[in-house]
Amino acid sequence: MLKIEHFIKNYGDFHMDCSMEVLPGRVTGLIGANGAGKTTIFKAALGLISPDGGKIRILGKDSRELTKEDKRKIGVVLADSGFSGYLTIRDILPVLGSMYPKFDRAAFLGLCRRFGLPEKKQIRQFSTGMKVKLKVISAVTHDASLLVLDEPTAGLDVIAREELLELIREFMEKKEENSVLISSHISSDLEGLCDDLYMIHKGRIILHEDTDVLLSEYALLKVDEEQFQKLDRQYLLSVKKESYGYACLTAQKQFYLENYPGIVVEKGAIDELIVMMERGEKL
Amino acid sequence: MKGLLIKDFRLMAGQKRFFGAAVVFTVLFVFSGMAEMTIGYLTFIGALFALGTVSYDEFDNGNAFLFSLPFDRKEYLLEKYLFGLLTGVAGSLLAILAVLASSLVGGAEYHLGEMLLTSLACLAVASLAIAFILPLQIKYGAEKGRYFAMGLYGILFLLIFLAVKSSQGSPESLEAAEAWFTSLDPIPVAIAAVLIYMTVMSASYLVGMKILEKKQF
Repeated sequence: MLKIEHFIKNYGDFHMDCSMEVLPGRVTGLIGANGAGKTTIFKAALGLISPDGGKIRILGKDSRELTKEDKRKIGVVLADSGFSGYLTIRDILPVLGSMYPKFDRAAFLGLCRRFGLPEKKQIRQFSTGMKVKLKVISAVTHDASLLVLDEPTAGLDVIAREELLELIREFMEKKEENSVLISSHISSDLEGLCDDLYMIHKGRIILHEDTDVLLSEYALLKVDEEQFQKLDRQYLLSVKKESYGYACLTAQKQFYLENYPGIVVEKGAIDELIVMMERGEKL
Repeated sequence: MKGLLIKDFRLMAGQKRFFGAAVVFTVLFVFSGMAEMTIGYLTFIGALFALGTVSYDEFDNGNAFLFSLPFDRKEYLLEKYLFGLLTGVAGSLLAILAVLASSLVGGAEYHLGEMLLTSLACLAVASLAIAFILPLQIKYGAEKGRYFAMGLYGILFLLIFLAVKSSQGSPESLEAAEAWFTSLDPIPVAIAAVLIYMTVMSASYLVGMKILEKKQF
């Protein structure tokens, strides 16, 4: 669905070089701190910015050669961009209807009502959450086969977030080959949705793992100075000095559970993973 | 293209203040007996609204999302010219209707042929203005593009001013220029005008396309 091979982009001091892939039938998450390069990847995948090097293929084509027909198969949510704020939902209905032959007007309006979006109000008067909801609704109601969603849950409360994630799940259930590339700074959203996760840091992919493996095999070991000295470090991915001693990230939880029964082993969670991969010392 | 046109017409329809001002000025011009002014005013504000839609598209970084929708960059540019033409023609027709309606009420006589010629001339000038400004707006953004356009107009005005000044600006020389112009065979003049117009429009499209192709969102 989407294959990025050594995509290179330079913005002043920021240098990006990353590779990743979204396979058919999969939900792939992209995590990373603000400014890590997530939005740059989304924009490059959609042909909105041109790479300085590397290859980006989306739906089997170079991202800069996407035709209208190809674009109709992609549902897009961009974190910092949406419909013109001077339009209303009533205005965008015929626009979407004209641009997407398979636009489901009834479903679109139904979802707008379900999420309490006013039809006659200008979008610039919407709250952040309302704008995000509108973007997601627009992305899932024209029979796309790939969703490219940059921060689709930003600014939403827990219930609205869950409802939108449900929309994405419903999208995945519609067709077996449907795929999603999603970024979010809310890790729990991704844990419950994604099949695999990429982690980006300063323009580089520093981790790619299946979410199941990440949650079952990865763990945070909390050890004091003495325990740390005795610890077999060959399975540690990164170490961070803490007030109690050391926090150590491993992808071999079982090994440490079996061999070091005295240490604290915390189940892998994406938030800790981000902190450890970005701030911890690599071994 | 159709979707983009609908978007721009919807954007236009949402501008109630714009329409309010247009109605007030139109009524003022019509009842002051200024038929040419009415036609010029409505044709220009109609056509130049196309340039306004560029800033509406840009609002809140909207271009990134807009250009992810199913149309290509060439279509975006063509749509802006077409939209300007359609709204310019609509403005012209409304102006002619307003003038005709006022003539029924007020009894003043107007020549439809003359009004159509005025409309055509205004449409040509308005579309040339779009041809100059649109690529600048796309390159530098709506705000900066406007300043560049104002700068260009300033230079143009200065050149005309210098040309008039160098010909002493005397009524005699102006009359002589007018006499020379009216003495020309109208058919080659019309052909030359059409050719110049087409060249400017084509150059605008080619430059605009080059800028748009390189544009990053």
